Amino acid sequence: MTFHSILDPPGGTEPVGHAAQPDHFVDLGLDHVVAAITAGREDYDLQSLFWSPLGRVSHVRYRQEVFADLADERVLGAVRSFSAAVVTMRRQLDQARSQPEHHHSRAWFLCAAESYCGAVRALTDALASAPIVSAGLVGLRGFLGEHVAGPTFTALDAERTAARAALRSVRYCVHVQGLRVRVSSHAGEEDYGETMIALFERFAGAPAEDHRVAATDRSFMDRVEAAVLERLARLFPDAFGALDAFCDRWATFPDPTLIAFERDVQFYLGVLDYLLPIRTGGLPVCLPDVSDVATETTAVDAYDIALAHHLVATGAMVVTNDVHFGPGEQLLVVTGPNHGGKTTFARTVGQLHDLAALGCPVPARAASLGLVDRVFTHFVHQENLAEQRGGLADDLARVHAILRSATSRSVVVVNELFSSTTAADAALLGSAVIDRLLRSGAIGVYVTFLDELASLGGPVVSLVAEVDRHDVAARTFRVERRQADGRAYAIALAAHHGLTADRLRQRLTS
Amino acid sequence: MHPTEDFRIGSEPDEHATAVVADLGLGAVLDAMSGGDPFFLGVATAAVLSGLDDPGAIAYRQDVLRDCMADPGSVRVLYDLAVAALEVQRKVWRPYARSPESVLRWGVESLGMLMESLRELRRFATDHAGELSSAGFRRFFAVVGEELDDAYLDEVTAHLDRLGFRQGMLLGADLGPTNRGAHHTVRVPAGSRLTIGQRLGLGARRGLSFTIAERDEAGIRALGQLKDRGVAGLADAVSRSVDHVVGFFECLRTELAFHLGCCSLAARLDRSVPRCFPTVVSADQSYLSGRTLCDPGLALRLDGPVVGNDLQADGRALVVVTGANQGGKSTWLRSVGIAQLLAQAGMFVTAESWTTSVRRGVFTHFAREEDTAMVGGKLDEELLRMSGIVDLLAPGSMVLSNESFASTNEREGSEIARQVFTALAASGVTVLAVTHLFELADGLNRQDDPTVLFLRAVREEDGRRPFRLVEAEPLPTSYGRELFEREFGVRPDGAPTLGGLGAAPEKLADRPACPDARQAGSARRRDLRGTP
Repeated sequence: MTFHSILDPPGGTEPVGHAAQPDHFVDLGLDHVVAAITAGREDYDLQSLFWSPLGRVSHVRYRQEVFADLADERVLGAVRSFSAAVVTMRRQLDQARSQPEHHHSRAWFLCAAESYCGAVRALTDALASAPIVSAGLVGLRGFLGEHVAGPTFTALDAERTAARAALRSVRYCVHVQGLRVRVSSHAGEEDYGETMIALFERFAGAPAEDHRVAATDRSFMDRVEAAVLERLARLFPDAFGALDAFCDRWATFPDPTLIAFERDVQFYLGVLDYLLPIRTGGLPVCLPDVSDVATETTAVDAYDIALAHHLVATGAMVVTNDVHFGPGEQLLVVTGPNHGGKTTFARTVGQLHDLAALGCPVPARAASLGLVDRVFTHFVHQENLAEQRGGLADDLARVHAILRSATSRSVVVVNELFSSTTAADAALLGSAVIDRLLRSGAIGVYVTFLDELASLGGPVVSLVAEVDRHDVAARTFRVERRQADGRAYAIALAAHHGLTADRLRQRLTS
Repeated sequence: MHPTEDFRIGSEPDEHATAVVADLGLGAVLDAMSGGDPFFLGVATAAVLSGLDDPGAIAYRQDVLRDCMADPGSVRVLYDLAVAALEVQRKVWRPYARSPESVLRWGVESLGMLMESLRELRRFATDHAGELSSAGFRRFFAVVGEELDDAYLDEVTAHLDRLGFRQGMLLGADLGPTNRGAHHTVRVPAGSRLTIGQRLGLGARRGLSFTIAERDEAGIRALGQLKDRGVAGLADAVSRSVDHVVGFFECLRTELAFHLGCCSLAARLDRSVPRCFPTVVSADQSYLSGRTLCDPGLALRLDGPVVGNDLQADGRALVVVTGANQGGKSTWLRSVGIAQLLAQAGMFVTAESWTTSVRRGVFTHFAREEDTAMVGGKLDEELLRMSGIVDLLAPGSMVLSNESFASTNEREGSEIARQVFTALAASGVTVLAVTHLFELADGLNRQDDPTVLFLRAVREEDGRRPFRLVEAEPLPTSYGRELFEREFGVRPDGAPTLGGLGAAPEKLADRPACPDARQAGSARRRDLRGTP
């Protein structure tokens, strides 16, 4: 088995679709999601991966399998350790390049080789016994097995071990008297600090304050250190000779395939790190069942991932909702009170499809989704409200552009369309847009105040953001499939204030 | 202070401990122990608030305290010796810029002074070994005699001399991962068999030398750093030694301050106030009994004799105290709480005799006078405070409740209190509750639970209060209206009715008091039952 990349199967690297962030990422809050995922991984330049949805279901499954394997703590731990060791190796190679003292620089190089060999061996051992099934990680395991048994790695590993052993055997003494320094080999002189500790240990009891002065981590050797080291190289020519020979022979030791793996796997690690607090907060995450043509689009207990990431940090509860497009159903029209969770629901639907097309886990307990070509969003932008006519024109222009591009594989998320005009106009225009949207074959979510749009029937499904029946001031953030009924909310609110017809009669007669 | 553990003063008392001190009136006791010395006050507070839970350790400390109370003068001499030794911390300033070399110099000088104090301590031990004979003192003198013998002290002094490095500094090292010198340690040239030349590596071994130019400032600085790396370990060892010896004297001073504080308390209490070393048994048995228990705080405040009460509450999980206002209920509750704290601190208690079990913490839930203004949030505050206490409780804890949940109407207050107290008692917490919630007390009484004890503050026929508590079931009303009448000269008409009991208690209270309070109680109850 050949190993190509942990991101894509052999024989087909996905072209990078977007050099820039897709327009709809801001509306869906995905800009924050990507920023959080890639934070601390800037050197790997991962963002464009998140801007490039996969075009083939087989490629989505390739990544999903890797995610599934990484759900095993041992596998994930092994990959994390490997990545951490490679990062350390890079820093050590930087040191080897920048340190002026010859023997010091070369020791840094040896450290880098040690980090690398240790990392490769550890990953090989971990994967050898790991319960992995993904083509990506199984391919990597095959590659590692051959590589580690091969002559190049075997020699590298043996020689770095020998070089270190020689240096470890160096024990020396420095005698300082006045300004004169004499360097010599060590002959078993007793440690005076130990003598003192032994002398006073009968007073031991309280854990004494640590008086050890922290070793200052100066990156460059001072001249006394350098002078001592230069004399040690002469006193111990075998050890230092072995180090020089090692460095000369292995000037370019890291394997390019493994280095590329370490970069690419950051995609997975970043996503998993992002999901960790969400999972810890008790929210479900799943790998969706992705197909080319979705006969039924379903997500159970779905939620807005960006909002959830924010809320779990504050300890607040996150409400989940089901998303369901039955056979023949194309558009979910969501009505209900302000701040009742309508927009959050709409974002959720967009995020599910975007994340699924990247091969990532999605914010739901279970999901079955079509592989979409594009996600379109139209959200009200605050600045558009300032100038009404300009706002309406702009709305229409943007919607038109979406309708022109949407295909039967697209998802369209519309939020409060035409809010800058009268309700009657908005209803009329909205119906017209919905009609065209349905004809494009796309599926979508349409958030509106207008009950009329929710009762168009056919492929249009009405959802309502619920309020608490007992305390209308409290939103449940649950979005239920039922007939739009804007007045139910008003009646509940009236009851809350004792202003229903019955209550008013009672109050007036008593 | 303890057969196996050093005594330490922990952090500042927390909110709960502060409440215990205030509610029990412990301040007077702690002040008497401190004699105005803030250090003594800190020690006394820590010792009383963090008692021991092992009866053996408590007996051990009681024995030491008996020794000290028999000869406070010698203990004072020993205490002064410890204080003098600790003067080293003031005389030798710990270096601010902590280079290893300066730390080493500080350590050597401090140790030199501490050695003198150790020699004095040894002389004291030799002189007083016969007089202070408790296990604690015997052990202390044995340690001082064996561990600090002259040969040892001389050896230490000799080592301190050698730390001057008059013959240069010999450092051992190896190579770290990046070929920098690592594990620098000061080395003792190997044995006296070697000549000076051999010690310095001039003999058989090959060596290479270099010299820093006198005007090479960077080089001289670097050389200083090399030496600092070398002495870092040694400076650390010497400093730890200083800390150990200082810690030893601090420990001694702290422990003696506690015992001297107990001696002061005994001296400050009126001669008529009884005192005894209590019998403290393990937590798995439930004991709480004795004769003539007094509130030492009250005795100190009055500076004279106070009334004591006998108690027999062995095996009781809940003690409910009712009866006359200003009849000594709160004082009694404080006396039990203080006795529990003092007993577990290994101290004497103010009683003729006292037996108690080790309890896992003493907690107080007292009605807060200052809260009466904020009517709205008061029950809320009380519930919050009780909830905070419950967070800290464990089976074996002791809760002292004084008029808890009186901030709402009697029906609600009784129901809350009943649920709280019975639940706590059932889970192994000893609850002592002073209450005037009749519905609570009466309801508990009707349950005939043998683990519940009812006490009542006595009121004589002529209305006088002898501040005594007797075992007696609760009466349906307190004597507050009478106190009101006496104070205001009028009857408290328009006083709040007693919650859900309706008019009945009102009517009953108007009846002339029965000669026998106990009879009166049952008579009233019959009447109550007869009320439609």
